[in-house]
Amino acid sequence: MATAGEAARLVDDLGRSLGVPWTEAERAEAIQEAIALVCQVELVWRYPLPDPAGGWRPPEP
Amino acid sequence: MNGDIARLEAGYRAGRRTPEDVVEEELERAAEAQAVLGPFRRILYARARAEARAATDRHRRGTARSPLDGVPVVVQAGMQESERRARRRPSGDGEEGLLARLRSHGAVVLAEADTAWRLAHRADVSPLRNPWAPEHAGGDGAPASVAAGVGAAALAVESCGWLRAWSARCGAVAFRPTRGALSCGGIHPLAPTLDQVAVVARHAADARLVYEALARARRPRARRRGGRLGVVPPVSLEGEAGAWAVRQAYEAALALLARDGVELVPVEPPPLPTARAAALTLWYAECLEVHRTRLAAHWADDGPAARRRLMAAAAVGGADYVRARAVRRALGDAWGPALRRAGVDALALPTAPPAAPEAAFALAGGALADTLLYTSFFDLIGAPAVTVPMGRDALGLPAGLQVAGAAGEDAAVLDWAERLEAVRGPWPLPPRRSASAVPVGSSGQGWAKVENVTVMASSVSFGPGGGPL
Repeated sequence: MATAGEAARLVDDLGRSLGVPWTEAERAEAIQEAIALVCQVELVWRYPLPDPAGGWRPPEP
Repeated sequence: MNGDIARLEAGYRAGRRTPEDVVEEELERAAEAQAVLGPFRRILYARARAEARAATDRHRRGTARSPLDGVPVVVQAGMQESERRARRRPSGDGEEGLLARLRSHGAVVLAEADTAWRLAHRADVSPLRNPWAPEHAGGDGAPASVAAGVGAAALAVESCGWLRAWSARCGAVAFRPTRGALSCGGIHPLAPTLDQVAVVARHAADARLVYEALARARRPRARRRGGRLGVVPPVSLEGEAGAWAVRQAYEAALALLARDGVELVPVEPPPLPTARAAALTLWYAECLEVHRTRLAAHWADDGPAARRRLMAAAAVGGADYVRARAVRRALGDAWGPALRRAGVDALALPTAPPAAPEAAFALAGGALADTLLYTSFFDLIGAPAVTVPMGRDALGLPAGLQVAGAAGEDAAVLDWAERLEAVRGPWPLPPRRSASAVPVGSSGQGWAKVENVTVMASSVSFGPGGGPL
């Protein structure tokens, strides 16, 4: 899970790799949204998944 | 309660009306709605008239194809394209496109509704307006169109609960069946593991008719009149911004059901914020994957919010995506047993926390997460869910009640929707408006401040500060 700082770097990396012609304001907004998204992702990681007592289970298709 | 489709069919059969008459009226209404609300990408005048002529001939000869023959409908833009794509390159299981199947039943496609993606995100598109209060947002073309009285039903893709939330805010019924029950073959994906075609209508009976006509497998009608319905304790709904009026409508609707003899069984709600987080994690990642190759080349085609969301998806890593899928599986595994333990086949809860925001706010991207709080759980796990309009707030904005069941319990969910409509009473069409009556632009931003709620049954209403029934 990315931290807020890492989220900004990931957004920049994606922009560079795709060559998107964004403005500085658009870049800042995307980073802001990425940081908000990181908060959602954090909730996903906080959810206590049941212990796989039965051992290994095949991944869903 | 019978829907519009049964009434149309009876009229056609008795020779009181013809599909041509009906479609001509509907096209006029569509043009009016387009001028005031803007729900369509295009209105299909010539093709709809030709289809209506053919349907009229079939009814005169007594060779109507199905209850949908000559029934005016709306489809989400992109399904037209998907039909062409499906013809050229059928999906793996060899099914025809859903739109082709709809037309094979004789339904007349009036118009293509604009999609939430384009409306909420494209910079050059005017805000879609709410049929009940045009200074407020309509959110999505299909529900805004049907709620305004154009088309007896509509087909649209539901990914994360957006369509049901906006159907509630527009005053329409929207039914998302169990994942896979309706084919998505040939439809351009947005978030492939979440996408599911849903039916929007003004009556649950109409949603049922369309769903049963198009479903992959015929499921027997449940027609169970189980007297137990799971409900979320109101205390669990505290603390959501702007949700006061929606909670009032929820409690009033439950009071109507209790008066009708339904036993309301408190059920611990599923972890809605976690489910929303997992759904959004998957949604962002899958949207980026779908759009990645076209993003730079089509940068100017998408609006600022679309660009922002696609780029923000970079923050979702592979491990995050896998974790979100694991959470989805765990929540999905627990859902059916939770209902069975409570001895109910469905759970009722509000559909969208706040009512429709002002149009300018929605155009700027709106509060995506707020909109999806109560709906995204069921989209995440692929369970059937339906929203039924239950009341309107002081500004006239509708609020809906959602009923959801375990996977495969589509018929039971639709049964509850029809029962809700029966206790609620008739839901009127919004007043017709001329384009000049719509305010130009919107001033403030944010959620509507609501003072009271009136549920449609005349015996149940709230004044300012009125408590639960």
